[in-house]
Amino acid sequence: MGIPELLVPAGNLEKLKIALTYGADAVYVGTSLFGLRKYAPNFTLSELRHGIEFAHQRNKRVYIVLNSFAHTHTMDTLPDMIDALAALNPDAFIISDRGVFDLARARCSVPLHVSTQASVTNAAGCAYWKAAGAKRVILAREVSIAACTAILDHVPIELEIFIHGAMCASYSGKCVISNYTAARDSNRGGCVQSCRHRFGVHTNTADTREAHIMNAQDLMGIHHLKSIVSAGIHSVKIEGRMKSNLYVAQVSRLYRQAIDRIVQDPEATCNDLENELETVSNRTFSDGFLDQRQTACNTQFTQYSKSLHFLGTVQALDDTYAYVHLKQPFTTDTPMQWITPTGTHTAAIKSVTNAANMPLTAADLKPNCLIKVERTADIVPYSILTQPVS
Amino acid sequence: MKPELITFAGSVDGIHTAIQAGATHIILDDPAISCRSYQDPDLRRLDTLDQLLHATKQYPGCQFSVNCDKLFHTHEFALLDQVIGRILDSPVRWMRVQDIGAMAYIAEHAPAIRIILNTEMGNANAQSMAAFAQTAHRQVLGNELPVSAIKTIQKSVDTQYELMVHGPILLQYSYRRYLGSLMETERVIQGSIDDTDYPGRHFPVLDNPHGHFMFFYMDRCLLGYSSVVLGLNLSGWIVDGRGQSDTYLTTALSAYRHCLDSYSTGDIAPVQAVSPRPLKPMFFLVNNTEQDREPARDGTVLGTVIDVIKGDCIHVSLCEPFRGFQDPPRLGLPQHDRYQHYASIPPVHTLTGEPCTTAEPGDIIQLPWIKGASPKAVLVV
Repeated sequence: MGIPELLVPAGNLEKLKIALTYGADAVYVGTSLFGLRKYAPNFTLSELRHGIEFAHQRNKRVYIVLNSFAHTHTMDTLPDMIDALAALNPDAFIISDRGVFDLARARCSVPLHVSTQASVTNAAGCAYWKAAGAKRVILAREVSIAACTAILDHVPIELEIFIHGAMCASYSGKCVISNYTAARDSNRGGCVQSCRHRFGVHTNTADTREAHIMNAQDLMGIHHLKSIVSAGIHSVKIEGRMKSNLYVAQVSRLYRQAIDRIVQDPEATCNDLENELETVSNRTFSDGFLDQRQTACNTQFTQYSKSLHFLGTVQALDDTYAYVHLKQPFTTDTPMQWITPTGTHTAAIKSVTNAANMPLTAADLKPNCLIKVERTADIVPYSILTQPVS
Repeated sequence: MKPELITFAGSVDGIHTAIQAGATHIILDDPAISCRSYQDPDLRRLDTLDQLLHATKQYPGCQFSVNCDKLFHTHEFALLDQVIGRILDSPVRWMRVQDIGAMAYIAEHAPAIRIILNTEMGNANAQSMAAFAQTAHRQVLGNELPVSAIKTIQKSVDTQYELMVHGPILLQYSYRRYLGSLMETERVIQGSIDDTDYPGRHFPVLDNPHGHFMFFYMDRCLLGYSSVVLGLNLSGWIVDGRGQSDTYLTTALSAYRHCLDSYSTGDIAPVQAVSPRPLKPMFFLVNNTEQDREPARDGTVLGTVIDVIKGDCIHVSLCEPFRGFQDPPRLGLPQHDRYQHYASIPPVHTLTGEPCTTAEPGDIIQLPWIKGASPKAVLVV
């Protein structure tokens, strides 16, 4: 029984380190060009170099996303960029555009993965991309696990599927809503997620009503891992390069546990891990298309759901203190917990100072500041400080 | 050679009507395989296709193609085999696909069939089109391509091109059934939706067993630019009247027929009069959807301020290696072109207070506070 790769999003260098520290086998990252998260911090070349070295030192992998659909005039910059990225020795490029794919193949030997943006839904599509030189196909989210088995019966190729995270309302890559409604190109990193809005619905057969009509709930496939492992799917991917450090830590840690648990005992359940995944901000969960075509949708979205606040991330440790980059204010009179690669631990924080050792009160705790708290044995670099939602 | 005037027909009467209005190439539209069909499909039968293929014999001077533009899932290839078989038994030799897998499959199993590739979205550069031209005989240019880009592509890729000159703009193809979730009894549902944040913009929607399709609240119309389109020497002009009234379709076809026959710019007024939505050229003239929003900056961004202790120090998370300063650095917010300059080269420490001469991306360094320093400012050298 093969062990599927756990592939986690890394929107920046810190998240890359968090993902790999918390259990991911590989991460996917983007630069500011030719990716689909133009407004994420993304990586500089220096950060990529450092991140790839960090990963390789741990026998882990970094895939670079180049999955926008390029227009001809932007292709001019691509050769130099591919050369520069290939020199960093990444483990793959993720590409959706056939022109970009051919250019990358001609210029370097970096393995090529076909992005879910290419909307590959069948064995013939996989065969096409394999013949073009693809090592792996990231299938459309609309493909079921059973269909993956059928594909692998026809085409010996690495398959990757999404297992967790937000989902496009459309077939990924088959949407230009933002192009026309916001003058930003959905398929070149400018998606404004208009599909998430509330719409008035008018038909001839029903009264006008308002609903989040295109509310694709978040995907959670942790309880399908047994089928995924049996199907021989090579990699399970988690969505979310713009999500928080807490999200990256939790999905990496919990899916790592789940995969290891299922590989060891295929009959094992993951209900406890599922409950923990629900603590992070989400739009409520569904199985997506993993089991079968999703027909019904929850069109009554009200708000994001979560039970944990993400407070901050440990940036450094000395003998006595942990330095936490704070993202959200907190009060010490409410219980807090550390999330670390090994689990969750109560955070007993008695006093807080800034990096210059000046005591801070609750009023001083603002987003984007560094605080010092007493170090305990549980805390390691990239530990995440959280507080329950009251 | 004069471009074909192309449109869709889902019935024998529809073929006749379209040809009478000036169409010279009819796309046969069976709801079982044509994802954006407004007819109620029986996904196991191809009765409509049979009727349409049979009817083509009455129009020997007209070109025909079969629309097969759904994204196929692996279990649906038996249906694709049936379509291929029907086409090979008919005089029709053109087939339209969106699915790259279906394209490759048809090329391998039925090389006599000529393929028209219409990816709807995404196939937008010369290199991509050159690669697909190895399998497809024709490609439909995306609605997001401006005329300048079309000309550039045509210069470097010698293949046949079609362009949608008129009709509703598809914004989205989903495999979910969003309206079907609200109205479970309906098989094919038409309507419109308007974003409550931007009321008054009514986006047409179609929900059928193939999925959910959303369209723009204006239709594309190149009548006013038909002389420019003529200059592109395309193989075909597509007028899409699916789901619209017969009047919408025939009026538009007649107008474009006139443009093609007289080599002149068309009159938009009569076509607008029968259109339920405003008519615009959309991205045909210019497409500025990929603006570079990164501010131009001279110098290298070394890192981002993550902490400010007023009067004492700041902490910077590095995105580039730090090897000491050659000149005094400066701080500024990315969206503004205003910087606070250090008066001299500042001392640098690690987060834990030790002197620092080198650091790597991801490390945090400490510098003296200067007036104007704020979180998220960038340190530039």
